[in-house]
Amino acid sequence: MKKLILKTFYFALPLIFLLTPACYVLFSSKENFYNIDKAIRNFENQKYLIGYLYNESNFRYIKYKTLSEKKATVVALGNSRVLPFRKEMFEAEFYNAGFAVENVQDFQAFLSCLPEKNLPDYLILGLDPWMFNDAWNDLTPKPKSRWTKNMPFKPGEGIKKAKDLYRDLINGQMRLSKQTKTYSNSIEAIGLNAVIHSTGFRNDGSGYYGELVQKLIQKDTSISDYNYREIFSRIRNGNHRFQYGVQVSEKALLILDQLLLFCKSKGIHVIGFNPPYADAVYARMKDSGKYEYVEKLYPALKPIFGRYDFEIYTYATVSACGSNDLETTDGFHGGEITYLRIIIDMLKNKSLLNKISNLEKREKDLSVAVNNYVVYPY
Amino acid sequence: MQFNSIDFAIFFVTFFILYWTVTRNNLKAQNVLLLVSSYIFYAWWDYRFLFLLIFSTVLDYITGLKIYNSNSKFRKLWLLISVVTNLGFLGFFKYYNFFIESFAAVLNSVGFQPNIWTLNIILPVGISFYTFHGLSYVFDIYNRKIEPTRNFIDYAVFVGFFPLLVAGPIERATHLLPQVKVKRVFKYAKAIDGLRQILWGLFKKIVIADNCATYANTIFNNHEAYNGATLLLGAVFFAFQIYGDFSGYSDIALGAARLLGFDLIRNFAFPYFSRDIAEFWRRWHISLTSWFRDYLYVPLGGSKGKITKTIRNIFIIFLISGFWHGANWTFLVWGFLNALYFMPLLILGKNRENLNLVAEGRLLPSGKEVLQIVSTFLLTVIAWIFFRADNVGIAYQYLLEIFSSSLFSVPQILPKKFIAILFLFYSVEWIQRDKQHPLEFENLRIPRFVRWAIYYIIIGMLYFYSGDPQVFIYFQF
Repeated sequence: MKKLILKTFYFALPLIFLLTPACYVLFSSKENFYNIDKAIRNFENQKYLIGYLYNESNFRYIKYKTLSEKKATVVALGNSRVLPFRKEMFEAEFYNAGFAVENVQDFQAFLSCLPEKNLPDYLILGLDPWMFNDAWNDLTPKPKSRWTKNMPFKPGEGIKKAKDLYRDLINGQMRLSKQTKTYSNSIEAIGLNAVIHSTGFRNDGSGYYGELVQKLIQKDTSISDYNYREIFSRIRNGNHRFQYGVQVSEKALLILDQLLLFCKSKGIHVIGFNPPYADAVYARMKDSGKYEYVEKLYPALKPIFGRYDFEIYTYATVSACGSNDLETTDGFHGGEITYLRIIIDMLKNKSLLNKISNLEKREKDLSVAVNNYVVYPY
Repeated sequence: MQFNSIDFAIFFVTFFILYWTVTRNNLKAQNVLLLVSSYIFYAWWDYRFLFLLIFSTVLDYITGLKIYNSNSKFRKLWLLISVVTNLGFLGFFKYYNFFIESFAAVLNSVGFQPNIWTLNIILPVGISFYTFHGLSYVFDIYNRKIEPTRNFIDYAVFVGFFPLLVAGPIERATHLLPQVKVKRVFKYAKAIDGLRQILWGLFKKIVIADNCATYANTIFNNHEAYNGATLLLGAVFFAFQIYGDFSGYSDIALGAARLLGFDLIRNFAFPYFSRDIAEFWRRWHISLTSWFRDYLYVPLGGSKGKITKTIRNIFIIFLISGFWHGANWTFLVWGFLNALYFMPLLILGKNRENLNLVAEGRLLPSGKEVLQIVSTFLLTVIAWIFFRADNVGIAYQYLLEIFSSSLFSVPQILPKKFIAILFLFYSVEWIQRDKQHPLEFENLRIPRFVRWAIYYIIIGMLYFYSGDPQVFIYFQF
């Protein structure tokens, strides 16, 4: 017995030696081995920047957990293309649940995970065109654990992620010594993306893109989507959310209908919108002639929303809301200014959001924006 | 608590230390600790079903004693009580919705619109396995092969022994119960061999099965989008997935048991080197095959008597074996196909032809053996398509596309690096096919540094080449 224990120990020594440095980095950056529940409970007292690099799936948990703990009057729900909505844009309690869903089926699944008393009064729904393209969609039902499982603090997960860290260090994709810090010291960073790239979520769930915005201002050509090269390549290849499609998915529309019925029954007012592409990107998509479904989408959505007295807005391109390509962070993400313009446009169109947001104040906010991409400081 | 989880590692190490230190000198304490740990292990999934396991254990313990002590009239009654209750639970949890839905479908087809009443029934993990454990015990007592144990703890350990509780191997009282009754003594060589078998089991599960699952799932879930060559490759990936998954689980179970001083029955013996389907079934899920042979095939008359009767028995065995796997027509077709494959061998009297080791004493197989191995493998691959598909219609469409001209196209999914790993894995298993498991190094005189290098390479692959974690397939059965 003693011999076995000793031999196992000697055998394990090199493995322990190899894993310890990576685990230390993951631990000290709070990427792993840290229970995010602690931060969520402390949102009232401390500003955070939560940006995982290897545990992106846990963002879903954060969004779920935050809304489970506390009701928000208005919630923005979608993927990364709703993240620029900020609490400052509303005169009511706001939370941005961007990144919590991937496809149209996830909306109701996510809302169903929340306690009924914490369901919002207003729901801003980011409806991306590809959610209605069968060539991209995976509409198989997802288990609730997709949102309710808190993973990165478990020791096993940390040990697994150490290999991703080594892989990126070996490939030169990450340099621990090269860190961009664009936020103040009073903000606590959680996760390697927050620590190294100043990227993550604020307490209100909105997205903060410190390093990217800095590079955009400096016109840094190392940005992956510089001059939309990355998105143009996706259009050329018809992949990564830019799969070609002719018809709007009937199945996805049916699921959306069920979602709206669910919201109606829970007293939630839904404001749907199609987040915009950069003008140049949309023009390229149109020229290709391979995205017919995108143009058919709004006419298909309008009657469904109309049936429930809900609002639906379409912003195929950033110029549709008065923004322009200089205000985009990449080919299919508008910046904070673009999204403030969207809110202003909705308010001007007599949206029920007028009850919780003031048009004059928003127009004033726009006039004092921090830069081309950001309206409000951190 | 899955075998390939940190939770299990912590559980097992804690248990192992307690087992070989605190309870080392006391058989009763060893068994009590084993039982309590086994129940904790089981309750980790769903504590509510622990009561079902305990009920099943108590039932078979009592009926075993009653059968032994009763006269011939009551012996049968007690046996019946045990069989009906055990199979009743199994039937309810596993097959209730299947029968209700199938019945409703039949009524629908003749124009009735019944209000079907299905239940949201959760299948208790391992119910098929521990039910068969208990049944083999009462059958053996009824057949006067063994005497019942009067010690309830011993019997409960036999049924609930955690390495085999949720996915086998399906043990026999004649083999495992005597080991429960004697004090286990720690043996270094046995423990080391157990660790090696666990390591190989983890490799099969995490590297082979989980990676195969990624490709197989992609291809099966979107089968309409792929050509015949890709679909065939998808089916081959599934064949290796289920082999790596289930035999990997069995290796971990056997290895863990060896660390605790037990020898469990072998469940897999390199089945993909089989030269005919009869040999395949002597090497695949051995504990289930032999269970059906001893408790169903033989009582039905086995191969004694007319050939028509033997053919009937073979079909019964395979269909029930298919149904044992789950309440779906796909499993029944899978069983039927295997019975069909068996027929030519049975009719020509060649079903016991390949009893020896393939290419014994040679490094490479002969041309004839290669042909036999490949054709047997392809037959099993076709049957696996039914096993994996969501329904028989999908499996049929899948097969149609394979047997079309697109079979001769270039596969749309061709993970070359992983296929190379698969080939390496297959080669290592081939070289070590005369052993219990490929890391059995006894009598090979391999220097320690080479052995350790092999272990480190495997651990490295477990770490850097693990697939997306999947639940063990056989947990659902």
